[in-house]
Amino acid sequence: MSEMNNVQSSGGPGHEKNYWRSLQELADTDEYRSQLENEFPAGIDAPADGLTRRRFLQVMSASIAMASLTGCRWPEEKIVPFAARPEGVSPGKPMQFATTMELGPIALGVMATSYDGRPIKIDGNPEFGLSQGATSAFAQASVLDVYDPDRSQKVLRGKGVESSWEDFMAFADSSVKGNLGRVAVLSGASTSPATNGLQMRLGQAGAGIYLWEPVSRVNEMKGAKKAFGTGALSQLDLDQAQVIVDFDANFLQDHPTALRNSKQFSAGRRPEDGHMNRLYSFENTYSITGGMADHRFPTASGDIAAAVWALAAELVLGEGLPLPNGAGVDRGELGKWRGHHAGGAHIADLAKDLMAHRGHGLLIAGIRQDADTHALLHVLNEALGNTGHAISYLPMQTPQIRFLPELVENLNRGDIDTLVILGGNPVYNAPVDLKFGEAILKAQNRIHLGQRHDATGALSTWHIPQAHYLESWGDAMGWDLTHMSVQPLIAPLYDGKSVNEVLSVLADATPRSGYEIARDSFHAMTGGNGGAPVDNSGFEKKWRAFIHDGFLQGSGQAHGQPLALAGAPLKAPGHGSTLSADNLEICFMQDQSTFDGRFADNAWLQEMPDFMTKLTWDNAALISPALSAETGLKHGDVATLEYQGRQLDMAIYVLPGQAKYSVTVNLGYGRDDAGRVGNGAGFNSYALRTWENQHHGTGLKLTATGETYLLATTQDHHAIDQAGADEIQKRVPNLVREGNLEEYKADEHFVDHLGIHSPPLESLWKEWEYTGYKWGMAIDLNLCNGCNACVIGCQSENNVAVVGKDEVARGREMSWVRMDRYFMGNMDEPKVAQQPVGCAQCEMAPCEQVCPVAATMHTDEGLNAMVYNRCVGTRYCSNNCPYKVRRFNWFNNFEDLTETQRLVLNPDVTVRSRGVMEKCTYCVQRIETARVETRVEGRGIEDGDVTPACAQTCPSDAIVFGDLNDKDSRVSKLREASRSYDLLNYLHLKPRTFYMARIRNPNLAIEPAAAHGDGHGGGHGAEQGGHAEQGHG
Amino acid sequence: MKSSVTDPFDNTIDDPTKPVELVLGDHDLTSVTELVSDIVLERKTPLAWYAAFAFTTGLTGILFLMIGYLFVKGVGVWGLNNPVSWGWAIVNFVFWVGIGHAGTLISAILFLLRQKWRTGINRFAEAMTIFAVICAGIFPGIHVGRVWVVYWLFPIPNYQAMWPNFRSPLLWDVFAVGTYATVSLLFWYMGMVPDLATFRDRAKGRIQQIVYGVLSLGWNGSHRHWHRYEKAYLLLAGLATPLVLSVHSVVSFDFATAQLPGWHTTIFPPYFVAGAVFSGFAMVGTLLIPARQMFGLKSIITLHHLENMNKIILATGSMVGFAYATEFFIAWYGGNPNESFAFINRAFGPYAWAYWIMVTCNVITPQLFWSKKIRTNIPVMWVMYIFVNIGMWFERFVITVSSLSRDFLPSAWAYYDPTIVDILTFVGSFGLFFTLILLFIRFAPMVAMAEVKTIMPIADAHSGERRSVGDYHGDIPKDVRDGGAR
Repeated sequence: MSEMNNVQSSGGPGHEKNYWRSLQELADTDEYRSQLENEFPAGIDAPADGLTRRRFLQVMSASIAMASLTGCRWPEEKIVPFAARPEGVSPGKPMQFATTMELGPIALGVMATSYDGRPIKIDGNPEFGLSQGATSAFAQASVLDVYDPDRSQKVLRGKGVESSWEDFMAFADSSVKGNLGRVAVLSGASTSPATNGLQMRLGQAGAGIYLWEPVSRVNEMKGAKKAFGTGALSQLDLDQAQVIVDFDANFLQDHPTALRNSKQFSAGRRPEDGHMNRLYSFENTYSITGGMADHRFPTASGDIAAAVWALAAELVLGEGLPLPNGAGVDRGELGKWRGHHAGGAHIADLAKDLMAHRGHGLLIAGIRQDADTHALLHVLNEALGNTGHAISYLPMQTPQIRFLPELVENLNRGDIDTLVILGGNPVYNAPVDLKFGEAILKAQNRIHLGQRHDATGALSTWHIPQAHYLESWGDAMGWDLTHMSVQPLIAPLYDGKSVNEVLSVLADATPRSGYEIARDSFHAMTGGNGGAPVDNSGFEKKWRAFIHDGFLQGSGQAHGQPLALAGAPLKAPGHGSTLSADNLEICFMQDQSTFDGRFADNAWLQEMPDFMTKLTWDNAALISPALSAETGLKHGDVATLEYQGRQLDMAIYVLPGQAKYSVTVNLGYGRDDAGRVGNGAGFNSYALRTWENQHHGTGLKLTATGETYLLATTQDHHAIDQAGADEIQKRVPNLVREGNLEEYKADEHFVDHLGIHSPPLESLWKEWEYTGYKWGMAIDLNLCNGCNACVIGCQSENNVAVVGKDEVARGREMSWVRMDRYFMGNMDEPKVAQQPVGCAQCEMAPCEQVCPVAATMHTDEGLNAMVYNRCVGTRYCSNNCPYKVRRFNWFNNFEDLTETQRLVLNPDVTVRSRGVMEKCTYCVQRIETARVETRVEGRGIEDGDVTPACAQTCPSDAIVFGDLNDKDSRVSKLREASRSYDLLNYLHLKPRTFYMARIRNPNLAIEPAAAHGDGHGGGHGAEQGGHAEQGHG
Repeated sequence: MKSSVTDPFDNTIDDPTKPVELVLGDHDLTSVTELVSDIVLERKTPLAWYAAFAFTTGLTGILFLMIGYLFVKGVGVWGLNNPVSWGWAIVNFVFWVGIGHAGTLISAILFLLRQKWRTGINRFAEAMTIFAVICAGIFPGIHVGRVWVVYWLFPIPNYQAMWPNFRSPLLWDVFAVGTYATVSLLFWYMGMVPDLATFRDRAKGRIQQIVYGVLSLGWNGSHRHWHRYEKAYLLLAGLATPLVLSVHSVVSFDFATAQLPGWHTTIFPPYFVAGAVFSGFAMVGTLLIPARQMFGLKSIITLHHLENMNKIILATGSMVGFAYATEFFIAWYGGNPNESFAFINRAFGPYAWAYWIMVTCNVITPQLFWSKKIRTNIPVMWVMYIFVNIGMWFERFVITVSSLSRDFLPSAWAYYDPTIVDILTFVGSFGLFFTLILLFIRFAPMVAMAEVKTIMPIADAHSGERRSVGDYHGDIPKDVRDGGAR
């Protein structure tokens, strides 16, 4: 048994005591054990915070020890708590480790920051091609799950009887391994070669291997298989695309390479470069990709296939695009689709645009669209010459996958004695028509590996706590086939086991540790045979490099290749029933906060406002304004959703831009088994989701119940009256300044003409001159898509408190970055404007002048500093802040955090007490760290030495931070650029955070060039000083 | 015992040929003393006083319970949010400070202007001022996030070696309200010394004698005492006069110097002062009418006094109404779109209900006082006072909350609702106010006896003959004719 296991189980009885000279004698006495047992009789009755301080100390010391072996930051054969400081470890100095986070079939290379042995922050692995240093909100927030006190903490047997891993292994030996033919293994999608290898071995030994992933990418795989006859991973190169058509793909967020897509898409959105790409979007619910689109066509999810066929018909029949060999498209069938209403009025213009940009276009569909639609788009990309440029393919063998219905059938037939569920919560999220919860009871042994004792755990006969990815060894494959490593940052807090370790118990004669499995898998993947050698310095070196880098250098494919079309005939979609208020479409979507429910107990994500709805702590049935008008259902009403004979009561949210008769329900809510955070949040839309209609279906009916429900949003806290709504429409063009590419080309300085004009602005006193560093931040509204990664990145870096639904509803959320979102124009097809707003660090800060105790002051580098321990809490500063970005601690927001939950806090940032004001600091702790480091190196801080958390994590590089006094810094150059402007410039605040105006690139055939003054509303009627004083142009 | 007059007497008729009778009934110097001092020293405390006292101390208890709860939990127990960081606490503060204006105005400005009628009501108004300022002072103290360090607002040497920020209007507030409270208290107490001496001399109980004795500072009524007293009174009046104008001007700076649309306007100082006097007089009237009824002071606090107050209410109310109109005009004329919207939003936005309550109570109601019938009708005027009190509270609410709830960036807009704690704290502050008033009535000279005597005809060396009967147009009421039996 390896050292890791010793560490993990050292709290339990009977383990090698001699390793724990100091702490263990404190911790592992009989007295302690009996106390432990008395206190926590069984796992399900876990105390508020299951992790005791002593257990914590053990884990911490082990983790520090792991970190301490400098050359190899993972355990050798020895783990010892240190009495003296180990070489290479500076207490209080954070260290970073590369590892990999898996989200279903998507593996993301991350860099985890560890502080004295505890991971506190996740960032993108800058070396990893698919992230390039950026991360998603999910990855940022995943670190919080490690410290969730509601994770399951004990191996449980039967109805919650405490057991142990050893007992489980004994049970597996005696009762499972002998009869693998009657064993079924159900797991989520994983790209791990180790996991897949183990599963394959089990499969070969007779066990049935099944897959269930609630947010499934199967359609995409099937589509590629249909088009090319082989499995393939589509590789996008958006920097090669000038015209992009997104069919419900949300490629900036939901795609496996979303982070790289964002970066590449951004690269094509800089008007300074002389050209810009153009994005068309067909989708039913506003996604962040739709928000970035130059043209967005609200289309029911089920109509999108028809729209694709209509586009194909227009291209082939209207524009004469020749179909390539092996297209599998019947021209006669195409004829039926020309001018189909799903394509909308502008399909011909779109087709012309694509024809004009042959070889520089991209058509892409999302996971909710069927295989034939995907295949047709592959054909069209080939026909348009896009293949090999913006899209290419990595062929891969698709394993024979067995799905849930087959498992249920086998279960119901009584063919399965032992069901092993590896991760996930299928009793909660399996399609409702499969009646999975009933079916699994037919298996005599039900083994559940899960992070929580959830609905599935409750029905299991063995429940094993699952280790978090930051507690596990493993490996994974990136979407570009990068071979990636997973290493633990901390010993499992709750004795959790990884999927691999459980599989090894079943598949291996001698169960291996997670470390051994990962190492053996690496050995096999790099061409070795058998287990990894113990004393082979050559291999050891490669392995260490693999772990150190987080991936195997050179394994990723920079580009895919074109594939020949296979010619399978493509099936056109049925014309289907016509949608109406009595026959609505229901669309099931992954959620930005909970994903499929797996993050339901993550407080950061629950409180993160959805990009479009600004909804926190809930999901809702999203309906269009037109449907709201037709049915009378209003925001916050509760309606009964009736679909295929099943009913669900759900709150209504009226979302502008929603396809008229399409109702979107997000997955992952309505749980009562999630934990203290996620329980009771939202509505369980899985209750309506069937196997056949996993993504969308028609026949939904909405009936008002007459009840209402409190939806906590962070914007538009209350319904807006007409006067307010009109004013918003007037103001937004001044706040989120934008223009069309044509306008920009005609007058680069058009942005200066927008906004409220004022007489010359002067100061009452002599202004301070900034001679040293002069920190500033640029936010490019042309690049920001509103993905919220910065919001969670900031929360994680700066210990921003979570306040809960009621407080959010009161308007007391604490987020330092607010993603402002405005709808403009017609509410059925609105444009959306978004703007991240944090403290702008005004040079003439209005907050500073009014504080009676001088608790907020300016530094000589221009930071508007908040002195927490001087703050009395008059809140006058907030009243006088025109951006309203200051956040007040109305209560002690950290009071209820358990000892474990506090571990995630960043020790470099003060935890704010009750009664003090807080706000964005430009991550002053990072500036100070850089100051120390550069001083040690004997130089000044250079551009790029300081990156605030928001800028670091931004996937589209929309946020740039630096020294405005350094004329060569990126931020200075942006400051000088013609698109830059100050928010509320007429107040003479001299904010250090400035914005870059958004430039849209509409197809002039669809949207003729507007007369100058579009979006020029606001202040003009009230203009008093005239343009001249502004000094622009 | 000489007695007071009853309602039918009318000293509100303007007859330029004769001085107005400010003390009605057949009063001489002794009877005035008896009338006032007997309330405290001789008469049995009315049962109603006990009932009222029990009720108001109950409310005061609620106030302190709410404050305790606030201290334990945090400011979040109120309905505040981002952007509305100031809510009822600040509204109540400004409301109470405003009420506190009447006292000093009556004692200082009317004194300097030789308005004789002030003597009947000045003591009461000054007491009310002190108590209102006490109520006001509670709110800025408790509304801060970390109440245990609230003393950092004062410029006292501390371990941090830091001064407060002298640029902050909140600090100016501390000084302005502090000065005002101090001077008002001094003025009130100093003016009371001769009357306290009278109490001392007439007191029968030992404790009373000692307490009033100590409080009267050895006053013996000598000419030298009087001489110095009059000098000091005049000086204090001179000192207090600018304070009447300054304190609410400074309070208005809290708003006016901020850059929030709806706050950032130069009209605030005069507008706030006018509003303060307006609300102060309404509150004095609200209290005086029952008090003169209950304690038989109608001969000293006559209808003429009330009518004069109503005229001031009419004047200041019109100023306030004019200020509202000016604000709107400037919002349009100034051409600042944010400011224009702030005012449109006030009148037609989500807080329109509050705005129209304010306008109805503060602009329309006082205009009724143009009618003499109305301004001399006691029940009607009392109802009007209540309206003005309500209107002036709402004025502060509208200014504070409606401006904050919708400022520059629409994404930050939010509606503010008070919680039960907000409401009970405010109700509780009334409890404290009335408790103090009741104690004052019970234990202190409610009317400035010495001053009232100076304006009686008998005190006028040139009056020639004793004139104790007013001009009744030949229709002398029976009880005056008969020597004033009650």
